[in-house]
Amino acid sequence: MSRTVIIADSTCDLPSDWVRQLDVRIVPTYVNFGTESLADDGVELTRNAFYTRLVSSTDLPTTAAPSLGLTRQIMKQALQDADLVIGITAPAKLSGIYNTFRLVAEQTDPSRVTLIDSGMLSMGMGWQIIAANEMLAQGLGPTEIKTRLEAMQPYINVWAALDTMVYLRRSGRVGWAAAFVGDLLQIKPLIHLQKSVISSVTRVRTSQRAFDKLVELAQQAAPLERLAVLHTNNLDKAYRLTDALHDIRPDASSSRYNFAIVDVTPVIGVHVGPNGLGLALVRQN
Amino acid sequence: MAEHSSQPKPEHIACDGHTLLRLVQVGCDWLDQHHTIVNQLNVFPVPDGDTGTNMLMTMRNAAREAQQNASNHIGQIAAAVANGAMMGSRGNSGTILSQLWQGFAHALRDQSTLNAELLVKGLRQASDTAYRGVIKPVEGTILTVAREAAEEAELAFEDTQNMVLILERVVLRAKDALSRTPEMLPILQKAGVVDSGGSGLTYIFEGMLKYVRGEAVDVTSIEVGPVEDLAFVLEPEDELGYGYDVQFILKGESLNVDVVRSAIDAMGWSTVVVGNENVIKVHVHVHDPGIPLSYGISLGAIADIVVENMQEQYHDYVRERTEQPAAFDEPETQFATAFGMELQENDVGVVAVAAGEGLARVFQQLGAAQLVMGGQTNNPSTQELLEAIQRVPTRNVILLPNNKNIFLAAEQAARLAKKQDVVVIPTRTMPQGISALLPYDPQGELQQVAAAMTEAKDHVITGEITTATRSVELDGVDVSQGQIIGLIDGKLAISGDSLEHVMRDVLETIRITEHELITLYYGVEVNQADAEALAADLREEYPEQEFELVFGGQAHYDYILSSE
Repeated sequence: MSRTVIIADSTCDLPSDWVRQLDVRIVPTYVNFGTESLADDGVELTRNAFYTRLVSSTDLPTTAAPSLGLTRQIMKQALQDADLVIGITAPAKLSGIYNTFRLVAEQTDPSRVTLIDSGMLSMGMGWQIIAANEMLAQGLGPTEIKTRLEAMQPYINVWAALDTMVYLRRSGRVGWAAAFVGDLLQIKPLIHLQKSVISSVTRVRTSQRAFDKLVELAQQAAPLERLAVLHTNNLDKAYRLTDALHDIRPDASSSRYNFAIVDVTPVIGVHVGPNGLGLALVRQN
Repeated sequence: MAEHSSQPKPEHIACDGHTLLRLVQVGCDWLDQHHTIVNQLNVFPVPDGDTGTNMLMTMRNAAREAQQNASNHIGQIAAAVANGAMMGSRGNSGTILSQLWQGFAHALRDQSTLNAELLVKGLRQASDTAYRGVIKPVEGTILTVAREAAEEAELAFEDTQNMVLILERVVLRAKDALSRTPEMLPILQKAGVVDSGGSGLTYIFEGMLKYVRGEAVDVTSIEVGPVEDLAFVLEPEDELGYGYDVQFILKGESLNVDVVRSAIDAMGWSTVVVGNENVIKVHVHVHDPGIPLSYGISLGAIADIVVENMQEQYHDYVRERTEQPAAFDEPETQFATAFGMELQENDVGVVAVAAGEGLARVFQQLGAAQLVMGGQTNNPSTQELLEAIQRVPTRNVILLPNNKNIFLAAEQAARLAKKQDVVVIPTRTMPQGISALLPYDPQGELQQVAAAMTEAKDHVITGEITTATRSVELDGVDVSQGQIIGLIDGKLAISGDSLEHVMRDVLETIRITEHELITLYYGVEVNQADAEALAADLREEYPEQEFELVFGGQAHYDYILSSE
């Protein structure tokens, strides 16, 4: 039986112990403060330090796709270790990561590499990696896995309640947010990501209202196959949200990997700001 | 009275279109001369929707529209009156008044002249239409006066075909019904007033009666614009000038309201005396306030005395009415939503009523496509609301009245917007409107967007801080004129002598410590430094809560706050 490994970019937010257990190869993306470029590998850039710096920094940090060189290095290693490679990335519509993977695949051994645009960020992508891994264990091949993941994508939702509109607006990645005029009242957007599209669900003015809305959305989506509570430097609230969702938390017997509390990568944090709270869940189909 | 009515002139037996126009004009004029009294019949001691002014604007537009119709056909004139009233209607009483005309016109629609039978039928249909026009008809209001007037007309018709006699009985019954409104509506009783809308309608009937009896009604031209002519019409009653407005409550035993009324009426003019054998509310305009006050003391104890120099009031009034707030400057971005996208025909657009320039900007930033300036004291007309709806380039429109007194005009405007589907969300305050606008999704489906917005309006508690316009005891709160008062969700809750105290009491009453964010919208009369100082004090006092200070620009209300 041929051996297959998965490589993914670091915006998947997969917990580091899961990454080790599952032998998923992660390509780091970058946060740049001015001319200083820091890899999102949990070493150069710790999350605590990042959010402190994000708030205090007068210049907006930027994010960068992984370098071609580093990606090629990781891809080559994977091709050496295995017969086939599945690459899973952030949405091509939102970042250059997919394209980097594509170029590297063409430069190495395209016939052995299957690329999948997750259409998702954070654990919305992370859950696809977990699912792909379970499918590999069932003996499915890359093509079948790709088909199945694409069929699964409509059942995945990422919701994020941002503490402020400021970061999303100035990041420029989301057209409607960039065009959002409004500085008279503080507004907390609640956004939705599905199939590469970030849309506004509603706007609220208090974090309690945002919290309640997330609970409501999760309850409407139940029963759940997998659930991740996401936060940007907002661990207390993440615990509270976890408690509030206790009743709909996926049954632990179905998979070892179906619940996580995740501190979102700085690469996404740059665009959403601190004190955000969110959910990445997979509905049962 | 009897000698007039016993000798009806032949032309009073039937009535053509010209006569109806004349009746509308004199009804309007008589209301004009008394609309300030109607305005004062305000339950709440707050500056809010002036019923007299609202009804007058409605009647003016009715008369103007009818005057432009050259027909002598009564059905056509009545239709023009009804249409003019509808387009000009503002405030709840104005809107109900327009519906009375609607019903009246419907009864007359195919007729060229009016006779007693049609008059009676018209009054009945007027009343029925108005009752149907409100979701929950409340007795003790203009509706009661309209209904009893219709009932009296029916009774009178059993005795006579003479329209003058019928109208006489209608006026008497309207006055009687009006005097009983406090018995039907406890809030009127508590406030010591009769219903303002019912009073306005009674004046209209009375003006018409005066005309058919050949009595003088100071008829002024309705061609004059609405701003200047108020000053013109309010000319002093005589060379002594305006004199004083005297109000007090007389408490005693076995008081005879009718006797007190005729005694007070002999002392001055614009008399309103209502009450029962234990409590009588007296309102009269006199040159010497000592005379009615002494008379009151001779009968019992007097309380809540208000004496106002009407000469000064007159000047204030004219100044207020002629210094209209500047129309909100509508920038090019009006049609863009808050998300920067142009509204498309199939989108949902929003029209919001804003009480101040700052509030208007907030609504605009949150995505309102069209704004109508108006609020507590200047309720927009049905026509203004309709035009705003029509300016929105979408087929689906949501209208936020943001004031209880604008509901009926808003609903009327929604019905009149034939080419668009309009949903009125019953937002009672500016903060409710702002909260409702948060989940607004221009690309959503109308009913779903409306449902989300309706739910969101109740996410905030509204506080309003203003100055009492008169003394009253209401909802267990004792208020003296000129005191600072605090309202919570439209209900009088706090009174006090300093704004800071009232603000704190309001915040404590709404249990501020259970809330997260308090937004303070400061009014046009508050200076920014004072508002900032107040916000700084509150932040220090309640460190767990977040305070946001925003210029609202509303008149009369120093602060409108939302707590959530």
